[in-house]
Amino acid sequence: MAVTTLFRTFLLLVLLGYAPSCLSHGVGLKIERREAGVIWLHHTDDTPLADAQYELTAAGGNAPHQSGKSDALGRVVFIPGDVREWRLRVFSEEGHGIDTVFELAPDAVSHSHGDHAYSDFTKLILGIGILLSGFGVMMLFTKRKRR
Amino acid sequence: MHIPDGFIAPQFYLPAYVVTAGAWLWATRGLKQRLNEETIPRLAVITALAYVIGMVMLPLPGGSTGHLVGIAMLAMLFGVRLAFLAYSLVLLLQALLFGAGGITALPVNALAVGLVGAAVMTLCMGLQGERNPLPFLAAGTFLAVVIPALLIALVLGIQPAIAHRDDGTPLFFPFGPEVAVPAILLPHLIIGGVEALLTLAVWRYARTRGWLA
Repeated sequence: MAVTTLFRTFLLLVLLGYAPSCLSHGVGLKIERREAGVIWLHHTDDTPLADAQYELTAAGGNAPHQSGKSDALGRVVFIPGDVREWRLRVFSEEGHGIDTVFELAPDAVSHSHGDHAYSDFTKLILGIGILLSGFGVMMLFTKRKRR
Repeated sequence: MHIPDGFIAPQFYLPAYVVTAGAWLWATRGLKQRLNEETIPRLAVITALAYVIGMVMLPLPGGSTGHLVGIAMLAMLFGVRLAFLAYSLVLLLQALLFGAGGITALPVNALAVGLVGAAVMTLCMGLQGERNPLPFLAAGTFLAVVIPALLIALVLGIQPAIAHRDDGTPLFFPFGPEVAVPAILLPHLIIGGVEALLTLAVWRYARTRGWLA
């Protein structure tokens, strides 16, 4: 066998050996249906908080499990896997946001942050009551103005 | 203009708490002399008004929402110290009852809005002298909203530089001042205008009642 033929064979083998590593620079894709958690972000008037930056971390973890921006409907979709407790932080550019820890059990249907026992109106009245009664108590310890 | 919890790094809010505690102490000095049976009911009503208007969302152009502040009317009627204390109380209640503004962010909110806002309003009123008070009241109110908003935007904007991971990812508020300042300041230009109208209405009412010194 001529030397050139040997050299060509060697070159071909080298190229073939190198080919898979060239292919590994491509991007693969696998699509499947999975059970996911969906977080709906919204303003207090129920309009969606779209395009807000979020960070989702497994509770106790240091690095975020997932980060990005909410979609046009204010949704964040994630696959919880075996992790039950999560910390969600949401930041909007104008300084609004939330930092909360929530639990998502495998059989959970819905979890609503801010779904408290009292309505906003009740809390508003409660706040006014606290303020007025606080100042009322202050009146008891204030000297009468001399006339 | 309420910074929520989780937006400010401890390296910033812990020293801010120390500064604010000092400011609260300063504001309470001579409190007994400034409060009497006439000022307390007025202070109670105006503080309650500031609490309420801070919770009513106003739709703003661009789909965003905002709320009035109320610090200018407090400063106009009661001066810097009482306004600062009263507004700190408002912020505390809003944080505890509504989660609007965080406990960790309370000192920054109180200093920026309560102290600086009240000081700006009082300074503008001091400039009026014998002249027509309306332009000074309007300008003072506008600036008492806009300047604290700018301060808060700057505080938020420097958070990525203060606290970040090794790879540079911010640990707290993630946007720099180039994003935070226009996003926060622009809506407050409108809020400042609306608040000026409210303060003028309160001023007219206070004048007819003889509340103004």
